[in-house]
Amino acid sequence: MPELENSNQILQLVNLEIGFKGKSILNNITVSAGVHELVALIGANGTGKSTLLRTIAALMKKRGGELLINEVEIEKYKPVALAKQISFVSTENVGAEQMKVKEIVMLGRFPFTNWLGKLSKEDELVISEAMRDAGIIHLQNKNIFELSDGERQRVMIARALAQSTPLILLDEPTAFLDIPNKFELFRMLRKQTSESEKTIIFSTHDIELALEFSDKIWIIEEKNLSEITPENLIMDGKINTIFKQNNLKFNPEHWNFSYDESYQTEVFLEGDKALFLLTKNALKRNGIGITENKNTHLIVFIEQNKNQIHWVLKKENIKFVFNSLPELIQTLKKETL
Amino acid sequence: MKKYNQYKTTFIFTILFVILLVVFFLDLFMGSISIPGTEIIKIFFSQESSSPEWLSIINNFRIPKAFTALLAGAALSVSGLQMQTVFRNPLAGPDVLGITAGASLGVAITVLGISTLLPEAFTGFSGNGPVVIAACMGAGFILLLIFIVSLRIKNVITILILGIMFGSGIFAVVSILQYFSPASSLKSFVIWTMGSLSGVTKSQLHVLLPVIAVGLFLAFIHAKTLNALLLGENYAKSLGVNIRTSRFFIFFSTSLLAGSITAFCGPIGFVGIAVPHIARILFKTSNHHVLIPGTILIGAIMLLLSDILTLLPGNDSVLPINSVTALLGIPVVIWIIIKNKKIA
Repeated sequence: MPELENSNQILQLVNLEIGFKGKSILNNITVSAGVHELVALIGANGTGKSTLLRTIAALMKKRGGELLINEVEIEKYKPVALAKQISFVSTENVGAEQMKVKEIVMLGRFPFTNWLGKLSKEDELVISEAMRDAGIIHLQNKNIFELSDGERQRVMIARALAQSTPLILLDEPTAFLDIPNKFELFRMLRKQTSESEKTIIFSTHDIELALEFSDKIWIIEEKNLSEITPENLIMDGKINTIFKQNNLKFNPEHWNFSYDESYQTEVFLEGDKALFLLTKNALKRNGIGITENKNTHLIVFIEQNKNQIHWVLKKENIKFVFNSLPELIQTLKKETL
Repeated sequence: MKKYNQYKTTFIFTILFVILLVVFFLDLFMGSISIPGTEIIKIFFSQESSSPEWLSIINNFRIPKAFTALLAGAALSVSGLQMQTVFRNPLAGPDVLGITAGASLGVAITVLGISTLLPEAFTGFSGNGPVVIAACMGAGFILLLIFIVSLRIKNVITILILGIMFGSGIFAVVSILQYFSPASSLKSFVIWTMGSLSGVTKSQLHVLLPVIAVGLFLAFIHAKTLNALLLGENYAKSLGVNIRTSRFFIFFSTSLLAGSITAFCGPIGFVGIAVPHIARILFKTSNHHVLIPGTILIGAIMLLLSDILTLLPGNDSVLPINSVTALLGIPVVIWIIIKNKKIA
């Protein structure tokens, strides 16, 4: 049933070519996004993530191909009609003197109000709902300059929610946020797409979080954009091609990227999971690698009894016991020399 | 909360309106010849007076002057507000697009150039008619340039820089003209640059009023767009604003407002920069539906007040209006910069 499937696609890109100043950045982009989908756009710096989002938001002209919003070519939309389909949040700092949070969120109703900008009861309702969803209702009478980066980002998202568009585009929404705020934001986006008929596409450098929360990944690598689920991205090992030049590898076990180094000294490490990870991290930081090979000449066991932790280093059948990590590291470092 | 704010806004508007009426009549009252207040009110409402001399002074001088002050204050303040929003720059004013400079060039060519080259042809130059026409043409020429540029250049800051560059270039040309001019015509040019509200006659007011009305009307209907532009052009566009057309009309409105006032009254500084800030602080909003009427009232009050202050030395001497507006406006601008560190 391809027709039924199509009708769920708010955005379809067919052989789209993007770029600016006469230069093509990406071409042959053929992907789509449907309702209830949270799509993460990932790729290294300068690969065209922002350009793609800006092109979809009609802030830039496409260079070729098709860009369909609800199966209608984007260039056929009048500005106000398009503003009812797509809302956009960038990292741009906004606001003017004496501009209150609520006034900014109210601007989201711009496409729906008359020339006087008069808000109806329904508009007011949408505005308070958007502020509540973005968690900024307590800030509504504050001046935009009084807010933190995280709060300001949420104000701009509330404005996009107030625009009540089926498609929301976010350009690096997590860029200036600390870790709790990043999680908070992703949870909010997740909630929006699962509870309402919305599609959210965002670009990000927080790939670990994107993999955890998104339904779909649009990945740009080697001047090519492809669509993949987070699971397939990891299982195929394709994720390791993103930062191949930088020697970064994704560890599904720890759900993070780490530097893929070769070490002069390698040990076989065994121990309780939490202590294992702690020790591994400390060793790697000090230039000591972890090997899966049990037959290596350096073996470290982590022993835990009562509240005492011991690191036992076995070197060619001689045992050394350490009561702290620094002691172990110091000894192993001497091995390197 | 919302109701409370609305009442507060209405209250401020009422107070401002009362102040406007007071300073308007005070302005009619002030002058080298003292006329009793009751007579002034009688003349204003019934066109009758016990003295034909008083009737003439009030009707032909003080009323046109007070209306000119009112219009100039409103026009310059609204154009300043529009420029600050469009360029997202708190120190932008009506002169940033080079409009004032353009008007100066027109006047300089007329007063300095033609009078120097063709002194015989210039003997009839007494009224300010040719000056007004020249200033309009100068301002219009710069506007045309800005329009052409604004259609081609997307980045609004680039337009701002170009406007300032045009302005500086033109002032350089004006300086050259000044350098080669005889003292007599130089003096009339310098007097024009000091600004004057009293040069506008009753019949000229019939031209000025509709031009200002159109400019203010355009500003009013773009209030919603100006609100969206506070977020920057990208956001405004994503909200459904047609950037090109709205930019065109906002520039057009600014040009009508600032251009015509500069043509008739000379370059009056600081009102356009300071008044929008006073309005924002007073109304605690950046909503243009409130700020536009607010700046009109505050601008009119400020210029009427400045006009009253020009008469302070008493008797026959009158201070140049430009110096008074500057002395009133500069402290406001300095205060803004110090208070809003985040903006400056």
